[in-house]
Amino acid sequence: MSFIVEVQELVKQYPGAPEPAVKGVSFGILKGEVFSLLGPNGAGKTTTISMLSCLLEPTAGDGKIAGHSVRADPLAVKRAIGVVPQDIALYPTLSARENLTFWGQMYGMGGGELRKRVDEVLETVGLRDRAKDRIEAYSGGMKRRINIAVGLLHRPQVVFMDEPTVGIDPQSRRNILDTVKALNAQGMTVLYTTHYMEEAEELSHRIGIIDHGKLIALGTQEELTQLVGHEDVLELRIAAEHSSPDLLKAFSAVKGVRQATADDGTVRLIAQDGNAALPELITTANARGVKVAGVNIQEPNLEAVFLRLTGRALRD
Amino acid sequence: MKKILAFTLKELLIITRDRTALLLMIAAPLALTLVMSFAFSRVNTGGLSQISMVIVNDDVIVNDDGGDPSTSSGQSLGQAFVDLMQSDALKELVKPALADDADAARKLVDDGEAAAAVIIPAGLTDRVTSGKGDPAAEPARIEVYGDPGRPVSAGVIRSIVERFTQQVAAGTLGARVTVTQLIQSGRIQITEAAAVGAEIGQRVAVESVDRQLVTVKSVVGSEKSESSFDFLQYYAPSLAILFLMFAMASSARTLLAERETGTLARLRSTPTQSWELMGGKVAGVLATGLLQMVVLIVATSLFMGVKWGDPLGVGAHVLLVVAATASMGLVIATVARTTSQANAIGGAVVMVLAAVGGNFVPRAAYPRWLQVLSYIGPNSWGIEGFQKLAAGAALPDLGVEIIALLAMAAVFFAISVWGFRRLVR
Repeated sequence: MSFIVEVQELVKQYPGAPEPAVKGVSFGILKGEVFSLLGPNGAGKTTTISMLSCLLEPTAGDGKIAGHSVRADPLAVKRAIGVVPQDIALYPTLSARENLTFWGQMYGMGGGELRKRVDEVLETVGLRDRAKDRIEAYSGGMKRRINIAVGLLHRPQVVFMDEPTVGIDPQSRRNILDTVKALNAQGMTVLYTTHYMEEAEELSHRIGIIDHGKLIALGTQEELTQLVGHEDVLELRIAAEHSSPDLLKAFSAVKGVRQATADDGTVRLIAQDGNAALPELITTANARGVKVAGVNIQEPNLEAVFLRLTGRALRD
Repeated sequence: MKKILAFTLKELLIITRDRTALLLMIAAPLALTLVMSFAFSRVNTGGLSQISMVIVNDDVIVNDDGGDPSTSSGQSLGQAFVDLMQSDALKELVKPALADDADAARKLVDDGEAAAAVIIPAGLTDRVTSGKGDPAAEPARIEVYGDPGRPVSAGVIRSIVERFTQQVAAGTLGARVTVTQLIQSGRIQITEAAAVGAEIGQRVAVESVDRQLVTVKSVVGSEKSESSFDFLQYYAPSLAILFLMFAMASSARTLLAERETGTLARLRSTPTQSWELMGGKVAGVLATGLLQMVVLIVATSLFMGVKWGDPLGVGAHVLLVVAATASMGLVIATVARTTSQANAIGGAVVMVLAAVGGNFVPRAAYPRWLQVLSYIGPNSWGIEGFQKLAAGAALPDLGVEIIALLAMAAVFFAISVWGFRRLVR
């Protein structure tokens, strides 16, 4: 099976920046796949997607979408992709239908075909009954759904979705995730960027973990979690002022604990068996006069993978 | 082209739904026009109607028998002019009075009793129709003595006189007057009139090409005149242009707003070329400006009685003024980095140009150096063009204004194209 998106050693150096925002990222996306780029804010996700959307010129490397190079044939790339930006890129005083009609025209559509397609995408995002309402009257979640609908108008071969659930309520978020799944079920290829681990886990066939401009891991969820084996992630909540290198050293010395890091009042530990290590960890804390206010044990997941690979939590 | 049209329609739809923008574009200039007119003078609600003028006709015909000067001066060009001014066609526009003495007529203007005095010299008809006199002599001059406080009204009178002299130069009027004289003196029969008239007309026309038979001498009257200035007639176009400049700066600024809200990036992610984006934005701004000017012109004509002049000339001049001010707005939008920066620059530029260019006070009141400086912006050219059109000029009479506005539109547009490339990089 061939890749519909091929990214080869993509680099982006912004003028005046001390180091590149993207440092030689390479990956491929299969047709019909949902591929997520998972990483914290500032990891390089949006820069990567901007280069693949021909909005930014790569400093080095190339990307091919449906066989067209983003460097050599940007117009063909733009015809092949649908872009759902992180911002609500709509005209607030126009209605949903007027917005969709305008954006459809920018994709070269018109007449009856466009009218029919506008109805279809409104149906897809569940807002056909609000088509005549102005965007400014919509809730944040509804705006996000119309934002997605614009990217689907011209039946693109691949849709790029850049953090489409940022800043919305849980119900709207659920709706958007269901929409992505429904689109994929219809055969749509999706490149999805997020810093929410659970979204990547729920939606993706494969996931690329990106941090500081580098792709640090790539694979299915199972393949990635195998990187941390069967280790658990423990989070101990303590008073921030008690967090010290000595305490972390003491925690690291507990049997079965492989790694200990601290962030404000949260100590994160990777242990082969979290339940087994927990009593000794609490004893160690108490012996140093540190009170443990809360405990959380996580099964192996992408959060643990990120923690294991970077020493930081995904949300940092 | 379809994308540019779609872009234009989108811009118009957005602007017509923006109540604040509509207030600034339409309601504010209309209200301010009335307020300024009230503030500066008695409002001339009739616009350019019943312009008072005085005519001194020294062009009387002396009969061949050497008798008294003809009382049938109806055959002279001077009387033809008097007849024209007293005709039904002009009775709503002008209110002519006759005077015997040029100095007395000029005094009436200085005293504010008339907007202009037209002084027709003796021997005008002879000079034009019979070719008498020395061909190398100075052409006959009809003097128009205008009130500087009423430039538009005086301009209307001057324009009528110019049209009259053009007709004379073309031979039609000269031939008609001469034929009438010949019939009355019994030298030709009525049946011969047509052929003789054609011959004379042709001769006079050819002669007028070789040497100018009649010219118009414009004289500006005394500054101490206390007569009323046509404030409404002045402020309608000048404030329309002022608010057009605001609207164009504001409309062009939406380019920066599109960048800040992300729609510009989204537009660039569609298979739309940069020139289509620029063309769409330019067309949208132009359409907005044209819409604004059309509404203002129609509203001031219908509800304030403002006379804008020849519709073709006004239409073409509006297009040029909008093109120049829109391009200026685009320069501001593409040079500024943020909408707030564009707001500050745009506001300052418009206010300075308006003050210098005569949007608030007629430039005639400025010192000479400031009058020259006023030509730096499109607004002064725009106002001047509209004043000429209101005074009866046609599009070809606006040569300098057309060239200046076209040049400004071209230069500003070229700069904005460069700025746009920087903006979308």
